Amino acid sequence: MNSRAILAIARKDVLEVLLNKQLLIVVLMIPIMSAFFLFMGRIIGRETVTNLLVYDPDYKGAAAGLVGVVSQGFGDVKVTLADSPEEVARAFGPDRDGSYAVGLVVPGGFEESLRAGERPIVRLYLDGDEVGESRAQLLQAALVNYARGLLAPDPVRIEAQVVNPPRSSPVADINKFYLVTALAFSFVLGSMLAPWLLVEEVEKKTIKVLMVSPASWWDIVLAKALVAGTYQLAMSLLVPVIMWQEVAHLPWLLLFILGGTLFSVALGLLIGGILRSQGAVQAFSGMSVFAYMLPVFLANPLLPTAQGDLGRWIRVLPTYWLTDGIAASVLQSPSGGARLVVDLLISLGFALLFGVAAVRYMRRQAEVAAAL
Amino acid sequence: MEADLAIRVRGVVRCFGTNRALDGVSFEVRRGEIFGLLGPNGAGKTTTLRVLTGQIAPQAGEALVAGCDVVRDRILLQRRIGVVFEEQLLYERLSARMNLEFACGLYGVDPSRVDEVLDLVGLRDRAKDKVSSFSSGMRQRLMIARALIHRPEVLFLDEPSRGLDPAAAAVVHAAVLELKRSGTTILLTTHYMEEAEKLCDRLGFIVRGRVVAVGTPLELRLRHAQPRMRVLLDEDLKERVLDLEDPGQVGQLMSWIAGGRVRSAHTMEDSLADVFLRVAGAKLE
Repeated sequence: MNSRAILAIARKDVLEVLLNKQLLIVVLMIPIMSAFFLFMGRIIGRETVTNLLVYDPDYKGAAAGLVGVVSQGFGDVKVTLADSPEEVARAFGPDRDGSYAVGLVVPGGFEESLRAGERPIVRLYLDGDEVGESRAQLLQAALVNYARGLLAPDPVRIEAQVVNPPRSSPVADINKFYLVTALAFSFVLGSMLAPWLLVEEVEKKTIKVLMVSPASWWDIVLAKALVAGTYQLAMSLLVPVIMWQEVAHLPWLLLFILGGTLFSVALGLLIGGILRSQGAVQAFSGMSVFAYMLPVFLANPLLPTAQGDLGRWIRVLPTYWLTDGIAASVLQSPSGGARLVVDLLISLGFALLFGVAAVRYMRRQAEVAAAL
Repeated sequence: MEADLAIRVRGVVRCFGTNRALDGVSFEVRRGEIFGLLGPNGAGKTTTLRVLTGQIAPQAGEALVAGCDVVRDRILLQRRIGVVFEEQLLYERLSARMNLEFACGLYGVDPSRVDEVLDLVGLRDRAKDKVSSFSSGMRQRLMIARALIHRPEVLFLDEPSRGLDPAAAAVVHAAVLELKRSGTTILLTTHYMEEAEKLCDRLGFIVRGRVVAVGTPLELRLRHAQPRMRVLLDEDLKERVLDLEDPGQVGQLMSWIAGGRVRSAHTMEDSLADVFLRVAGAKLE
């Protein structure tokens, strides 16, 4: 092994990737995709604050009384108290500045006058841009129900039991799903880059230059694997760096990223030993996207499809175990260390299998290169 | 191997399937000379070069280059030789300097050598330009520069001016002659007779996988040329070509001279192509 020659070839390949716009786009796709997912997660998960302007001489806090009823209709509210009903009316009048989504005017002694049999007038102001029609109707119904509830107890008591309860924070799950997706996609890079770098040399015959240099065939192969693996690892590591908040079990995730890199590069070398043209490598890269992404959508424990027949059949794909392990390390409560160990061992086993097969096919590729 | 020999090839055989590409090739190249392997397409020039550069192993025979056996000492051999391929094999996305720095890394040469070889081939001012913007002649010069980066003892040039225009070929030829002056042994393959005559100290004619004649261009001409004379007679002003090895035709000439009938007479020299045709029984192109 000629380490100097390996490093020289690797350095040249790094430059070639950076100067190849087509490849560079693919390489940069992963951090761009992760950043985009992160951005989307933030957008989807953004809890918008609803501004309420309230006039209520008997105000007892945002969670009490009629104000409490209105607040429950929105996720996150900010209550501003007005000094007079006119102030609230002005805020929703012709000269409004759009600061408030909801205005509420509660007359003084509202509950007492209600119990006294009067029909006090509660004024509700709504900005249609922020409060939809159905939500406005529900809000009004809720206010009336609250008033009724003050006058008479509820005629019925409901005891509810919920199966399959909604997750505590669906937004967090979306981000975790994005993280698994971005990581699975990042492994395409190693499987694509390793054969690309090798086959390009064979197809353009520049391999002949290397074959008459002090570098042996295996030095050349090792250099290609080194470059593909380094780019792959760097891009994969960028994903949890960008979306670090979503990672529950970082050490396990790092192990799977390392194992995934070995898996991906070994598969890439196998393909590089079999294929002879860059066109064929591109076609394989397209197919490998499917191989890496199918388990994300069909066997991801974050999705319900994982429980179906398809979720079980998809286990024949070597990429399934990698995705399953990544998803389990990203989840807050993984279903157990044993599952992670099994996923990791199977993934590494496939990496070893691909590596051994790659050595065999690389010998044939060496003969092709020598015959150029 | 004798100290003054850079290359010694003895009975090298190499077959591809049923095709016997090299059928017992034997020749020697002295240190510091330019040796040309001359032959038509498919004669075995490139295969010989591939054997001598360690790309393929001979199936029989022995080849020593710069003191290295091409099979046993392959790695050492690669450090002592430089190869300029027939195809222009460069990394197109990289600049000329990057291509040469890469070669420096491969051979463990100080990168300061890059400027020296760029000067040698006259590409210093284009060092930062991408190879994809280079003309064929510039690429060929860059390939020579790359082959010289580690100061090889023996330089192999496979068809160095194929596909080049005359001006670009002249620049490449000048670079080759400059290398010879610096003491580098050069083996080149070509099927251009003019190139062989201009550059080579000695030539080997290769035909159907065998080297059929070796010598300097002059030796080959003297050894294999047919002495002839072009004679113009006063009576009809028609040219006649006489074979001077034929006693009858020589007698005829003498009688014309004695009779004062000869207007002019010129000896005719065979071209190297004629010599090749006679020796090899095949045309070069």
